[in-house]
Amino acid sequence: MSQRSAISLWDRHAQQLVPATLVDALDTSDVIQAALSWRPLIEARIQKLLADGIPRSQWPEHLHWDWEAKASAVAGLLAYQIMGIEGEGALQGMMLAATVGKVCHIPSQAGRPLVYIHFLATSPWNDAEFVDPPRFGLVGKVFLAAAIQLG
Amino acid sequence: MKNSKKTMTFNLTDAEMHVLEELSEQKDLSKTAVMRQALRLYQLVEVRLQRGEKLFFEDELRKTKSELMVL
Repeated sequence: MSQRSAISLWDRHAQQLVPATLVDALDTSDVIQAALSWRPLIEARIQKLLADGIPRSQWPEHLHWDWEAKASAVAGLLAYQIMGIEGEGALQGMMLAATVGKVCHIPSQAGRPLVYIHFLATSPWNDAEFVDPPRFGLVGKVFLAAAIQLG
Repeated sequence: MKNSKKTMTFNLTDAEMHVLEELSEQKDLSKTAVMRQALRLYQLVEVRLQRGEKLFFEDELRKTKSELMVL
């Protein structure tokens, strides 16, 4: 059973904060479902980039992230956590974080365990790279706060 | 089931408890948090070894590299 916490996202259309939910541990099936729902916008963006002749080196890096493969690779491992933000009945973002394997380097916290964010992505409809205007803001900030809390 | 917590008691020798307390102090973590970190790491190492990968310690100054055998 994953833990769910109430958070807020910024609704860019209504220009106000709206309630949403932070889920601390997504199942592989949740991740696959979200990745599938993101795919049409990602595919459309890839087709546009190809049509415009933009070199792959200039494409947004997260276009090729395979969340299904990532979820399968870390399934069952306590060292990793895939968190999600639910809002309006859909996942508005996902973050893959590791809770072991990295340590702090700044002198005041040297050697202490560090929560390391491997991947963090907002849903494509929240990203101006894909839609204009995007739907929700604050996804990244909520995830960063959650990672700090996890640490 | 990641966050439903269970309580258990287990026995440690003085030496093991000393190491746990030392790590707890060094890392500024509770003893529970140290044990949790240890379990996460142990599982991760075990899974990767089972996949056929190897775990090495590298000393950059001495230019040495030795494989860590996990029993």
